[in-house]
Amino acid sequence: MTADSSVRPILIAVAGSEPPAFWEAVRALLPAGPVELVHVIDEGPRQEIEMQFGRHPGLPRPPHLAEHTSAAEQRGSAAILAEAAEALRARGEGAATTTATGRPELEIERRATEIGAGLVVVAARTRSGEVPPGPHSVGHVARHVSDHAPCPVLMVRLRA
Amino acid sequence: MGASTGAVLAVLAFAAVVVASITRPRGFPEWAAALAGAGIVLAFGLVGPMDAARAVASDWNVLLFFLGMTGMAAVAERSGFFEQAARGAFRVADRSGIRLLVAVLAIGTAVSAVLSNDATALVLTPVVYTLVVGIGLDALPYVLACTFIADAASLLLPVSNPVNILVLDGTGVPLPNYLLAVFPAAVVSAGLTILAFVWFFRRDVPARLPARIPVEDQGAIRRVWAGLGIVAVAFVSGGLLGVSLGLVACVGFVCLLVLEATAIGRPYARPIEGVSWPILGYVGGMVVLVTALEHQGVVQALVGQALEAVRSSPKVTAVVASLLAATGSNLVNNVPMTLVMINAINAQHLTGPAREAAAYGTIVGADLGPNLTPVGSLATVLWLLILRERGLDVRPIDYLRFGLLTTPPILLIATLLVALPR
Repeated sequence: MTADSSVRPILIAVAGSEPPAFWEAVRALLPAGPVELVHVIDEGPRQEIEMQFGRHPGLPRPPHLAEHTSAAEQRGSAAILAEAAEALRARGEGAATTTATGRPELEIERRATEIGAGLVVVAARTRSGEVPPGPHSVGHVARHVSDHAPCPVLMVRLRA
Repeated sequence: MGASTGAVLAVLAFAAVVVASITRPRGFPEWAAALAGAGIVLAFGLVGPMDAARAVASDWNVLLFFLGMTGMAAVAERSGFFEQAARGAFRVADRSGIRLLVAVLAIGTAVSAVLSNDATALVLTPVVYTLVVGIGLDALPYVLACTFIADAASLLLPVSNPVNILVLDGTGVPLPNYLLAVFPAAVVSAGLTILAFVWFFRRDVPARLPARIPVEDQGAIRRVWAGLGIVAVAFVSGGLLGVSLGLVACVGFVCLLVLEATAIGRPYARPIEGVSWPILGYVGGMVVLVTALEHQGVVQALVGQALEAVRSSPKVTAVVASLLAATGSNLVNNVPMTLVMINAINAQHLTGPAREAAAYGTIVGADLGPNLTPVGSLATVLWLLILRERGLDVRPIDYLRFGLLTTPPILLIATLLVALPR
């Protein structure tokens, strides 16, 4: 990390399944500086639902589908960010929070560029926490962020 | 009009309707596309009006079934049936991500069996998504679980998939014969899909669910399962007694409306809300189009010759029918492909064991085939193009990889289970 990163914001990408060990590592390794937590609502499942309506032509959508799913997504994201902010409070400072919608890897990259992040923190794999070494030990989101972020990346990998 | 010109026109009209149904240019509804296509083939004399009317009238049972079933699903959705069923999955899961996956697959199986694969794919899936994402979980594995099991479990009963009723009505195969021949394959295909899904996605679900899981109403859960049981018994016993399943579905819809009125103290203000009238236009239009294809010799050329070549062996007939139905279902959607297969079976005057074998093979292929979605499938490719056009970049890899790996063997096993006893 360069000396500049201490005054540039740190962007921590959260997916909701980070175990306590992730936050212990983050608290131990983070430099000083403003922190922003970002959670991305993955649009993949909604696209899958849309595809189903295409595969079953002529059949109606449940009423209020868009409002219910949107409200649930916002609720879930708020809960994830609240938990993450609480985990960081042990550092003795607060964190800004942001919810985005889209492809997680692209939105994290975009947000890092937008805020001029000095560091991006991401878990190596978010879906199942600990994974043995091998081709599945780093997920596609962490790999993309590592390859394309506009600043250094701190990837936290938990060993099985 | 020459025979080949008529055939080309019929194929073009059919293809245009299929593409329009999938791409929905400027939001043009599928039912309008199907009716427009029907109008074109009638206007060009590719099928006579009386033949077209007879063909549509002969499918009155499945049209009634769609009305009754979509009505039942709408009442069930309003009453919170699907939500309580999904919440019950969370209780059974006991904060295990894998157990939640299995529970969702089990509920999807039950809903598909009794309320049709459409209810699972279009109503249960968004409910599961809403509950899972609402507690901050990655919802994709659970959404995919619903969409895969919707079709994988749709062999269980005739009402589990509208194409089952189309085939039974179109070929005259009795319900008891269907249950004996197809039910074992249905249990195996659903079971294998569940096992394969859990294995494939085991690393994509959390070991432990967050503490903020949705709370369920235990009384409502019991009513859910009792309701599903009653509907299942009504369909099976009605079918065995020779009552039209479409009529059973409509009576079921009325009964649910009465129950709803009793529960809320007054009749629901919009009782036919959610009943899918457009599906009547879509299916009716496709029936006329496929009849035109049959009149112009296209069905015979594409499918009829294949069935004719193998009619002496019911075992092979079942396998060929299954492969044709699966392939066509991925290319053009399973409803029109099923109509083509039924036309071919009747046009070739298949009788006895060959007729039943072709019917069962068609059902297996049309029900399970759509889970394949190989790269190059017209419907999948078109959907990917549409979503990209809307700025939504789709990652088809999860779906395609699972579908490619598991659907061919499960389809083969189910096909052999219906073919070998013939």
